[in-house]
Amino acid sequence: MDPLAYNSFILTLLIFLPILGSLFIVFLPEKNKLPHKIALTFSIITFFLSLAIALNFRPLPTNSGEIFNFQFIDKFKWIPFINTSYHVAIDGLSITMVLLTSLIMIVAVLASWNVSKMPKVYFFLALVMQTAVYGVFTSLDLFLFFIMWELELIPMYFLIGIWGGPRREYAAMKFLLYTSFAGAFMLIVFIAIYFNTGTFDYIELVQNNRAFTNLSIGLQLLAFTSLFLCFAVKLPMVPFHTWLPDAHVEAPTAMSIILAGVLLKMGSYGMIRFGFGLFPNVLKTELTQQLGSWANVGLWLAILGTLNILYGAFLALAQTDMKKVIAYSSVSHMGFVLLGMSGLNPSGINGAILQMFTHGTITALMFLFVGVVYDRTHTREIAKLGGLGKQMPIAGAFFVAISLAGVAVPGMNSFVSEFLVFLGAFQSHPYLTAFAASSVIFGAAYTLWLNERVFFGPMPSNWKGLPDINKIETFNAVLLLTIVLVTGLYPSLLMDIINPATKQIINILAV
Amino acid sequence: MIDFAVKNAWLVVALPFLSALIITFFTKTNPLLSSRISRLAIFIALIQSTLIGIASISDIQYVIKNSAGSLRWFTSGDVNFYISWKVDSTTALMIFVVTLISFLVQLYSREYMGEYINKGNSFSRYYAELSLFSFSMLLLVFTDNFLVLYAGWELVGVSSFLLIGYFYDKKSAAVAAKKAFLANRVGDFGFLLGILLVFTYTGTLNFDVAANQIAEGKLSGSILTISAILLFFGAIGKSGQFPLHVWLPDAMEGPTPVSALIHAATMVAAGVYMVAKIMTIFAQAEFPALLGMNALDFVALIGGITAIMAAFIAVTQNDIKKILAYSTVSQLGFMMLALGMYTTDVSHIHPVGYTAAIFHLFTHAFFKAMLFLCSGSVIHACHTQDIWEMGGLRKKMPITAITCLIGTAAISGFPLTAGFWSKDALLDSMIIANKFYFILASIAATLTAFYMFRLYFVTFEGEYRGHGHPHEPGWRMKFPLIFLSIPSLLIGFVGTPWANYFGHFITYIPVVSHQVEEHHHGPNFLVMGTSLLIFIVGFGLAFILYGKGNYNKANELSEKLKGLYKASLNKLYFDEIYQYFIDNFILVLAKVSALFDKFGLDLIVNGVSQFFVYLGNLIRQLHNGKVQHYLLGVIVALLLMIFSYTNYLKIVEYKNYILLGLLILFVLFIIKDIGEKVINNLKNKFLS
Repeated sequence: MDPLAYNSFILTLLIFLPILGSLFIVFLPEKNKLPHKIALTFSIITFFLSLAIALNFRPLPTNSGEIFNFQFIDKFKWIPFINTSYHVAIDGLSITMVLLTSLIMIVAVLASWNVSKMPKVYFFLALVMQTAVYGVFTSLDLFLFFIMWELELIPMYFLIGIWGGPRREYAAMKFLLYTSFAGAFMLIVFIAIYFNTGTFDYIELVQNNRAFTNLSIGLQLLAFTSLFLCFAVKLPMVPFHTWLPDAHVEAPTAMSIILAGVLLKMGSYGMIRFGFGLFPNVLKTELTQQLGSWANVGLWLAILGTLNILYGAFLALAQTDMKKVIAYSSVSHMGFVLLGMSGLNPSGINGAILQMFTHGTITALMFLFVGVVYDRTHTREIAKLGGLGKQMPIAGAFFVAISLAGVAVPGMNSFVSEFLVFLGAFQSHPYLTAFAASSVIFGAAYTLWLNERVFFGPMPSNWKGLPDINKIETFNAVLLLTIVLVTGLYPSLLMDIINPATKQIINILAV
Repeated sequence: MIDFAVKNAWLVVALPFLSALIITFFTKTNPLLSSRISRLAIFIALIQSTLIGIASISDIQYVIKNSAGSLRWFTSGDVNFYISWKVDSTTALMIFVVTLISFLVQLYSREYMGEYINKGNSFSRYYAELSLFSFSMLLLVFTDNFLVLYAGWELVGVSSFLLIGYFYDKKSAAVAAKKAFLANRVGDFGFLLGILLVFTYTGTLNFDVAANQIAEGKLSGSILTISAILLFFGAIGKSGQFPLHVWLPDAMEGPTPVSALIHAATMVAAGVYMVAKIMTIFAQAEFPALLGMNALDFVALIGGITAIMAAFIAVTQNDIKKILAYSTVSQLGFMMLALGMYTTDVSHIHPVGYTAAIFHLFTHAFFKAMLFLCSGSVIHACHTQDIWEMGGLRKKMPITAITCLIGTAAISGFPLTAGFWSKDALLDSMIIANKFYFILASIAATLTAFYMFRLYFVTFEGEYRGHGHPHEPGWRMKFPLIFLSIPSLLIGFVGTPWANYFGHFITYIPVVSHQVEEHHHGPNFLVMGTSLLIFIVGFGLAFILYGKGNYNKANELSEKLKGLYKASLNKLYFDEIYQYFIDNFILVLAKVSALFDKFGLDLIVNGVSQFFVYLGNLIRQLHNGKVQHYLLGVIVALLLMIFSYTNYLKIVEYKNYILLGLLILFVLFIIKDIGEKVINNLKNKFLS
């Protein structure tokens, strides 16, 4: 595999393999769990393919001064009429997210092993969604990106709406409407960029830095804000987060895993790739001299990030439903991504990108175990649970490990990402970061509180006889925990890819 | 041999780590093998630490040079973050203490926890967690940079969490584990901010480099003092200092050997160790930034409060482990207090209590671990922790009684025992630096002698008041007791005022070398006399009240001093105050946020969607099925088209107005129609 060869189709193959799999599922019979097996096969193939791509990816040295390091580029004219092309490629930021997607997909398919309601449709939709997510993380054409972004919504709508809990229709509709409403803002900005420059191509736009540079700074700020808003809904950023708890509570376990593990990262990915990439002028501090102190975008990011972190943590503290605690902890942890970005320096952005990965792995684990508990007890009410560690010692041991990962203890990958976020953000916004850092207390409070109430203490007698986690669940937990531990003990595995990518973002910002 | 030990010093950390991994992943189903692996690993580490110790005593410069090493952990921007280590004299001392106590406790646990061998994996889990702890603690003392220190710092907290919650199906143990972790996190919050501040200003996480950068003025004035105080917050949490001491007594929910290792000898001393290790930074933080205090003043204040407060609480506790826990808190307070003692010459701060604090840490580790192991032996025999259900155990468990007496004598400062010499050194530093703290510490030390002998008398003298048949434990539990009684008696002789070998080994080396006035001219007999007086008063009071197996006088006294007695018994109501704060502020804030989320933000979101539904319903009225309406629409549209595309009527100038007029007419018509509909609806709803 030559990463620098053009049109090698390797990346395209990765992107469309899941769709191919979905066709198999449609045309082959349903018996013997065939859809499950096909989906698993394809998710494993895509995982190894993305791993191969990652291993062949060549990070640039950090001092190269380049603003791009795109490899595995496939580019074809698509709709000449509007000058758009099918243009996909990966760099350090993309490949991290692609790896995460492939990994989470395996876990999600395995977590869906007991789906018996219309499994053909279920796995068809799941695989189509995988393609869309790959597309989002690799598109370098704004038009293609938008298509992929919207394409991801539809399968998820059905997956929540058909296989979800009692209020699934409300939750699915809320998810769909909220995100596509926000998507409209993105579309407007992209069309405006097109009319302004005549191209949808990300590389051209950034290279010539001409997305909006010929327009007034106020207009640039407006465009950035609109784009940011779209991504903020997906992130989700307070106060646009209310779709998330509903979606999580109603979604089946596997979809919660994908939603928290991958889909939220689309928001932060978009912010870094397109927000930072297309509008570097908006992030410059000179803007404050020009427009007044309110135009300090970095400061706004820090404020919003801090708000996310603490508001999410406090909400998690107040929940009585196990899944809601994890859902709000997601809000809190994604706040770290915002806070890291606000630093606008290498450590902050490194931390933000790493946090996207670490949150993906850890929260997926958490939802996995909420599923484990719910499948056995049929309740998520924390007050009704307790002492399960005695009855399910293996599950209990895993959950303790996951809780520790959630509170970012050393050895877990979240420790490194949170430390980098604090380190980076502190240099730019010391007071806000100090405020946000109090989450090391509150985050530990809700996570350990949950752990204690569900797995520790004496057990109510009605949970006697519950089986411990089965082989599939154990495999999932071991797989993800291994990743969490390995990338936690030796973060360079990821950081040596992420750090050069961050450097390129910094170079774009410095232009 | 020694050469190999020094050059591969990292092995000391790696061995317990490996043992934890092996037990977790391979041998957890075989409890006995797990425990052997764990003991073997820590025993090799102990031998290596001993060799390193010998090398350090003979030539410390050689050890510093040859033991250091580093691994690149990760890179961010252009900054490399290393896992780096270096053995200096403090580290050499600490690794010896940690591996020795770890080994003895692991040996002791083999018997103490014996009943868990056949209970699933819990025995293996115990040894895996002990190994994890040893690894974390050794990592903490090996490193020379803040990031790894912070990592080790958090990891000892984690192992402590796991071990306190060892009996996780017990509610109180689960709650205590959580409480310990959270209290530590409160301190770590400050610690983290301190590290961030140091890194932001000096651009490094290495202790020595940072101290040099500070000496060059990169970080100075009030920010330096605040950084140092924030770093000290970490020590407040970890070493159970006021006001975060509340977790340590509750941590006694863990198995007793764990209390001996983690919550007496090693982990809780990490705070003291940390302050000593970065004393170069603390000593430079001389700007009085916090209420007129510089960093060391603050350390002394917290240490002083802790020492006297915990001693006061310990006096009335009835749980044998709680007494020892508060005693630990109090002793750690002494060490902190000594670290905060300094003299100033010209413009340099010289911490005079530096050596004394580490000396006390060293001796305290032996006798406090031994006292806890004694209490474990007693609890193992009596199946209770209440000292009032014991009594007369000296006849039944003579070895435990004698070792406990030695420990009690040592901690009370009985002349020539280890505690006597280290306490002497502590008091000596205070009389040089600050007479007020000297008096305070003397009072606290008197209380120490009193409550420790109260513990001894009530437990081992008089008549047996329990219902069991207590007996001496087996050799695995006896051996650590006997072994530890030797240093508890004799180790103090390495640091006597006449021949202070310890003081030569561990001394404070300032960043900028300046003329240091020699403070130690030999023995200070005033201090020694005070020490003796402290012991006599404390012991005497305890003997009068509790020594004769008749507690009437003690009860009378507690009746007389009811207010004080209750305050002490209820631990000065710290738990209640914190609980009140959590319930009435934190949780209320959380609930208010939740309500705001549900009935504020989400209501807006749903409101927006409801608005569009309403709007849609309004416009839906257009499609009401009346042919007339549709025809009207057709006509209007036709007219619009005609006007737009032709100039047939030659009314170009007025075209737009006519268009507008037509549109308005159309809209009005529809509104009227809809209005009727709405009114009819309302009529139907309310009038029929």
